[in-house]
Amino acid sequence: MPKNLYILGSLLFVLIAFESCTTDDSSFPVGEDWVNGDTRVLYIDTMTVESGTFLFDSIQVTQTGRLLLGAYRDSVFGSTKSKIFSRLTNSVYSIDNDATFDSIALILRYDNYFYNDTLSPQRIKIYPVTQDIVAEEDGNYYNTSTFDYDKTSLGDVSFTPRPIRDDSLHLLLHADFGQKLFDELQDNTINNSDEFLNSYPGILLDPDEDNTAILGFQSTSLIRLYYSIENETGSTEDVIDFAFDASNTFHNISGQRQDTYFTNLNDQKDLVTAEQAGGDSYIQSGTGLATRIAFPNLSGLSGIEGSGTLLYAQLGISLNTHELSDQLHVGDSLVAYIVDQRSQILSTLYDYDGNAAYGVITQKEDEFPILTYTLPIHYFLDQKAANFNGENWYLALISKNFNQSVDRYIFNGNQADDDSKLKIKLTYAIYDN
Amino acid sequence: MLLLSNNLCAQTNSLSNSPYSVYGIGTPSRFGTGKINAIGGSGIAMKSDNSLNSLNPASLGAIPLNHFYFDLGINTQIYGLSEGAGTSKQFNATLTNVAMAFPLNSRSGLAVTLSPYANVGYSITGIENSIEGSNAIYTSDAIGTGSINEIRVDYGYGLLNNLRLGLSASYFFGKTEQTEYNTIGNYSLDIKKQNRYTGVGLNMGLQYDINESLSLASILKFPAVLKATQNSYISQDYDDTIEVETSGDDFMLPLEMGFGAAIAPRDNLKVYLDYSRKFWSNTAETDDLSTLIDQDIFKVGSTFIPKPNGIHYWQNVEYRTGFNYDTGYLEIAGEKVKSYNLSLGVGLPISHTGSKLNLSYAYGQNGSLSKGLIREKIHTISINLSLDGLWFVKPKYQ
Repeated sequence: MPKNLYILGSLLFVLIAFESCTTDDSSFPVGEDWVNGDTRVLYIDTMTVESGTFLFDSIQVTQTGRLLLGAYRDSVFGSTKSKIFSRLTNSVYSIDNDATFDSIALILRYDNYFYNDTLSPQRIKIYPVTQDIVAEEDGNYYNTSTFDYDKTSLGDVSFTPRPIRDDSLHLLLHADFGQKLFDELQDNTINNSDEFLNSYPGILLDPDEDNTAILGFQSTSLIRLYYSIENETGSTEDVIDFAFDASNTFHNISGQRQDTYFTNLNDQKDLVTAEQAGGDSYIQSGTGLATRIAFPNLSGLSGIEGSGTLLYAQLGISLNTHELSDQLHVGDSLVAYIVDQRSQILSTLYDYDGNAAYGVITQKEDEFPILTYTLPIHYFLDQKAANFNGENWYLALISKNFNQSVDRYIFNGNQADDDSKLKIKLTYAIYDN
Repeated sequence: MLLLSNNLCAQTNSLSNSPYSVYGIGTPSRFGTGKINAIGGSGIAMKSDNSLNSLNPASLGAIPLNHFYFDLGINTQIYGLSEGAGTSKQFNATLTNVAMAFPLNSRSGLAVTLSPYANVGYSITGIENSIEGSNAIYTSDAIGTGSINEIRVDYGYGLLNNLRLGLSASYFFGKTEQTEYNTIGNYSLDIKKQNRYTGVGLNMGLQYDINESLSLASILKFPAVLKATQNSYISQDYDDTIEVETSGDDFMLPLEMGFGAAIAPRDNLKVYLDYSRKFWSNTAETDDLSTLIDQDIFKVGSTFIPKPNGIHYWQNVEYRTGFNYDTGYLEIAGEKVKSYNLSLGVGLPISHTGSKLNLSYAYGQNGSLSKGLIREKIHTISINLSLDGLWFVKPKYQ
């Protein structure tokens, strides 16, 4: 009998060893009728988002690859003007005694950028700068940096811009300026770079206010002095190039905004709301006008009770297509920053991938095209909700080449048609009711 | 031994394969000690005179002096699930109970039983939900595992030779876990909810022998509250996992009343008839789709020993059969989930003191195919070891 028990005992032991085993062969598909969980997923695109426009006190323009020159009047933005301050470089300090001065010209190399109407002639004056062109204390040049100059011009030229067809613009400067410079180099009045810069701290290229276009030039532009030497066989011609010192050449971009929506933007913390500005928000590159977006609080939305988490969030901002034109083009992406209530930059906007988040244009193919930039803001909203100062976080939108273009953007605010108004799309999941 | 067996098993922890275990705290266990599984689950009026009857604490008033019972049961189930055109076969093996019982004196006895009270094990896929505020839908898969266990102390007292009263106290404990895998557009959101339950319960029982061949009995189980604490773990594509204590619902076990009769037309033939009712509707557990309804269970079983103390082994084997019909505790989309079970078994004597190896096979059906419900066809094999040991009595012959 005990033996039977042992056998039975081991048999049972083996059987018990399979306690809590289950095969998981196939899951059972059932319909919605079966399980009613606590989880709710909501899609919300009806939250009110507010927009407005502010003006950066100054924007950094150190060593931009492009130099903007010109002016134009805009019905929305007022008059905009970009002038160039340039420190010149020189490496030639001795000239043959028999050489004679021919002419001196400003050679500006087009970089294919232009804005507004290039069909009319444009006029610029060139002045000598009397103050050393040096960067601000922090090592940067700003679109508001300015230097003293002599009101006696070195040149006054008109030209018809051909930024696409031509490589460069060749503008003759006053001969007496060129002659004086030539003589000083030939006579060894100027023997080195310090003496050169002492006499010629730099030049200012100043466009006329009635111009109709702003053009982009490469920083490899220069002033070229032509001279020739007579000898037995004939005359040989040569040049001395005074290249722009790219590290100390910059554009000063300004706007005259009386009679525009932006006339009262005197400080970076001032804001013109979309309601105050025709229902739209604006960006003007170069001068520093930027759009600021205010986000509502996620919690406290009617219908959202219980604990939840944001799954997806996207901001859509659309161009007011009534204001678009071929001459006034826009870029295909926007750059976003997180700013505080005084529109001071806190950081770049990032996405959950760890990459900087851009607003990328998505276009609907329609009879009336809608151009919308979409920006991922899931990470931003999560950070904003978690930060103790989050209620003072806003997003500022600027264009891609904000410091070397004058592109303008006019965006619909939250009062436009549903397809094209400023909105955010959220997917939100509630896991605990 | 139990810990070791968990390591040997490489599969998941679900102890049930029924999608119906998604409701409430899972599928209640319908198993008992000793021969109960073989006789259709009946036996409220059965005395614990040679093995433990877990259905009625009053049965312990009849445990003979100097005997000690040890009861161990396991079962394996094969589920065939059908819904509409889909079918699936699944398998599990679980421990049914571990129990022991002993007399306190010639009139009373005590038993301690550990068993699963309810099991959760389901894997439901392709649940479609709508995203509120749009026309889009998202899909979920839900997987549930876990069990609620009961440890119970039964006390039975023979007030008179033919009247026994019993009382038991239960402690419920356990954990169930549901993980919902949601795919919402391109994003996944996984929500795991762990519910830990604790609760206490109280039962009473009575057995009355009218004469040698007829006994009547009844049991009463008081409602009990299983208090829940719930922790949720939410993980999503972006952002860290959220671990938070969320609000889990307590679960109420219903009031249960049962009546039974044991009839012995002959010495070696016994018939058991049981009726019980569980008052789920009072527990107010309901949501839009499913309701808990009052449950009526009818059970009948019978045992037969060809020739007790006969010379041949098979003459001493107890042959058993049973049937039960259950109106169900669930009503889904207006349709009640009913079930029935047919069982056959044998009790094989393995010692002179009355220890038995009980084997039984049951076939049952749960649910139906109407209104999109799932029909389960379940084959169950139960193996139970009922050891009846003599203590403090030396065997006459070694």
